[in-house]
Amino acid sequence: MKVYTEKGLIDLEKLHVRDRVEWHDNARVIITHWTDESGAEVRRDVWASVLRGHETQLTGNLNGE
Amino acid sequence: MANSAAICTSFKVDLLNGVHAFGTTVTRGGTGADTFNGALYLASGSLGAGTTAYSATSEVSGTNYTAGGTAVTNATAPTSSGTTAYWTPSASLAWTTVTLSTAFDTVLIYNSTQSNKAVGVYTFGSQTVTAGNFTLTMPSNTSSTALIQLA
Repeated sequence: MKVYTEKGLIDLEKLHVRDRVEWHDNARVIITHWTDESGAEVRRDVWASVLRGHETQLTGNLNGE
Repeated sequence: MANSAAICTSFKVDLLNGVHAFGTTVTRGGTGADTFNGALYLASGSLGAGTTAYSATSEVSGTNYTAGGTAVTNATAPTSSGTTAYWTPSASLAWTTVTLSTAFDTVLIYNSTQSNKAVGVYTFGSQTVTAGNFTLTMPSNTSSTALIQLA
């Protein structure tokens, strides 16, 4: 199986793959680093998950509060 | 049973569905849902609550990324639970085989049917992508996590 990289298609077995997880204020991000036999990163995939949307409070009374 | 002051929950859902207009409104071509897009922005940008519409300023650029971003899948109508109305895109936003070398950290959801008016700005930490895929997964569509919540 060949994998698309910035250096063209490279055999999967010639690539080292490493996942890294980042946590941000409102997101979890999984980054997949693909490096070739020289150690150079040739591909990077990012999968970001928004954990929560925005809440807007809609309230109202006769006092305008 | 006693009366209680409240913004009606049905009104909140109606707002998401464009039913009410307290001011001058837009002319609609039909009764269908609008089309929404998601565009990516550089970490050096300044989008936020003051953003009023999509702009190419500070938008990412790179291999296989098209200015304006990608369409938001909208197969689930706004709904409510308790007193909160909410809506979330029904699929992830995805860019395939892109190279985005300059750090980006933001997606702007905007209404491409209505003059590209802004909906919301969401951040996910500074990222770059090299010859790969960028997938932005939406939160669960519940009253406490949905992408848009009117409480």
